[in-house]
Amino acid sequence: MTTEHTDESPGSILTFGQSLSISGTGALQSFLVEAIDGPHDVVMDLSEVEQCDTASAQLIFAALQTAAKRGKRIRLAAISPAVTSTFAFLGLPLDQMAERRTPNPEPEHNAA
Amino acid sequence: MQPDLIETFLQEADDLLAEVEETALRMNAAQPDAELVHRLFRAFHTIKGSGGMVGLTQVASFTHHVETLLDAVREGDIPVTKQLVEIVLAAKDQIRAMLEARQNGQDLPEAAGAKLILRIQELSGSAARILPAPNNARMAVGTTERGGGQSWNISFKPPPNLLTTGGNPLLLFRDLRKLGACEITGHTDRLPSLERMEPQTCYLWWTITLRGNTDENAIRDVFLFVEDGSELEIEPVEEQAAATPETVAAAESQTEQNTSRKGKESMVRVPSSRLDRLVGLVGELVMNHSRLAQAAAHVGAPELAAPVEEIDRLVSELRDSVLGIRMMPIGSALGRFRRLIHDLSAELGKEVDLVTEGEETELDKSVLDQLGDPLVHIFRNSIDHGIEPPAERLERGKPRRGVIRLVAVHAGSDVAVSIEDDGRGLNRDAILAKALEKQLIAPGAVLSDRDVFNLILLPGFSTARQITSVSGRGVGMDVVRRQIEALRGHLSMTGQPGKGTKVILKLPLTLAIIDGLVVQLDRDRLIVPMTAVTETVELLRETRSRGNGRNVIVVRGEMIPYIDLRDEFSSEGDQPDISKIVIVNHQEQRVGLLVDRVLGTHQTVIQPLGKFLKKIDVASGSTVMGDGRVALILDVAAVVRLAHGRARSGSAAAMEHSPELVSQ
Repeated sequence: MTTEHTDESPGSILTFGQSLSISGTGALQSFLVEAIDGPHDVVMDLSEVEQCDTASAQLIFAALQTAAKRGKRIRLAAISPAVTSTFAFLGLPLDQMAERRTPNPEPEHNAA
Repeated sequence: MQPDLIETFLQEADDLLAEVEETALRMNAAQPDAELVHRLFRAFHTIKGSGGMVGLTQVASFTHHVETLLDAVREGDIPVTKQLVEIVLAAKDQIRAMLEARQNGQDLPEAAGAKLILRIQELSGSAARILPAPNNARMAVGTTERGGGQSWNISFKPPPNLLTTGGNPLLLFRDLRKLGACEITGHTDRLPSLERMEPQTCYLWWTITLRGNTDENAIRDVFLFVEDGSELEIEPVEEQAAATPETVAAAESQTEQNTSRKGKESMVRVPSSRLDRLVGLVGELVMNHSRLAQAAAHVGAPELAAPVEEIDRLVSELRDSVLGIRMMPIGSALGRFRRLIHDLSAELGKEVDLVTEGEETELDKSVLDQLGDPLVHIFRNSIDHGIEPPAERLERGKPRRGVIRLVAVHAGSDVAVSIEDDGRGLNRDAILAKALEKQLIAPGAVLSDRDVFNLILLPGFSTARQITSVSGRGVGMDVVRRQIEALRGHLSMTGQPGKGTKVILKLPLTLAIIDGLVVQLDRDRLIVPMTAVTETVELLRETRSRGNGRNVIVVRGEMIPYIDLRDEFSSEGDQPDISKIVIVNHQEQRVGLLVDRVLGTHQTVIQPLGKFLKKIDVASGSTVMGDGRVALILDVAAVVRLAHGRARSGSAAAMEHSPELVSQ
């Protein structure tokens, strides 16, 4: 998982690793807390994720919910089929929670 | 967690692991079979679920990896390969090691586990899989097929530790979707803020509307392993469904499922010591009943006759039922042998399949338990000495893979188990040469094939050219034979050079009941197991004195050595004018036992000797006769050994080591 800052909007891009599993939820939590507490808006790049389990999905959802309550904007970019599938299976409404971006991010968000 | 729950889990896991082993080895031998993969998956799934339930989280989380792998196999993403089978077997060993460590209070073998997990992930990594999206083709087909029928409202609030105890809602819901179309709504009202949440705790809960031709039990089964600590509510939704052809078909398949569910009887797990106690009590009841019958006959009161007869019927029925509980199919013991054969053939560079017939043939548990070691030895012999390496087999025009065939059949009150291989067979010349070298036969002795094969059964005989880790250490077939005879069984061997060897075991159905010949020796009564008895002959005092102290009689031209039990047991009193010799079979030879009288036959439940009498090895047990007197049950082999030890120079000594005396 990496966090990238760009000076201009939209802010931090959170890139998630290939496998999101319960063993990594501790790290994922601090990563998400830090991102939400940060000054920037957050973009989650979930395109690389090949495995996502319930604990990870729950954590991501909690992040979206917490951010929404605090008026923080989180945008989801490039959601991989694995993530879509897990959220659908768990009956969690991913779309309503966050401002969703098109799977094909605009060039400025790809900036290194 | 309650210790007896863990105990139950350990026992259950033991059975499941045995099933895993058996199933995995079958996968190796046969074509890929979806049912076998399902069976493996179910077994690991159960271990994971129950393990998590009783708090063995490490076991649950390790098993989770195996389950994930097998799930991918089940879905066809990973093919069934030899490598897969090896990993499954290794995983099974690892789980067993973890459970054993838990039982013995040792540290869990985590290093090996971690290594294995890496191997598992490597294998499943090639097909890094994601759960199928709900809109993919397969899911959609499943949905339309099962769209009709009853609707159910399900509310599932899992315990907070669901995720750490191996529970996986994704798999649960997928299984649920197999029952019908599902609408799943996740509820997040229990979810705390991001900072305050424990990342491994499950805060989510779900309501599901399931529509399909299924019943509450089938739905409940899906939640079986997570139900503990969960709040699960399942309610049918009242509505009328139109009977489309699909729903009819679905209903039919559901009926089949229901039938198979009903066909499954509920089982009770009981420690075998309780059964032993029950058998002991029934034995005493049988004996007391025969005393009662005798007393009633003595009193001669007609009003006693009917109830005594009725009790007789009930007691026999009770005895048969109780002994029936201890009967187990021989197949239940074969799992470990498949593994043994798999491992041994790999070690020796041979390719061997085990083919079995009559796995359902039942044997008393105690017989089955004691059959293990002899069978191991027989299999080892077959693989090491019998089956040739693949190249040699091909050269001889045999199929590359050797076959060991185990066939079990009922034969009267016995079970006959034959173990046959298609290997080299018995080498007559090698056996004779070895027997000469070991001075077991005289030079120039002419022996029939059968006598030659019997030489293998003599103590200390082994023809293995080289000592391998498998066999050839001088522990030979004689030990196997002795073990089988201790079970009141019988072992014989046949074989053809170049074609194979066959070992035939005859075993009693049960060790708890014995048909015996009651004989009298002075004032004592003894019971000779009927299975050993071939005939009885008279011996006149004069005939005996003509023998010049050599205890040998001639029966129809055959010289038969006999053992004077009065001598062996130091009985008092005088020998009657006419004594009886009970001729028994001992290791393919006929031996006589000289007694005073033969009283008749007697079927009885064997009572083990008390601990103070344990050292009497000539008696294998005891029983109480109708008149209340105790009779010892003779162990024929031990009696012969005793006589042999006492009179090495006498006639009895000739019996153990002289094949020339073998009767034809």
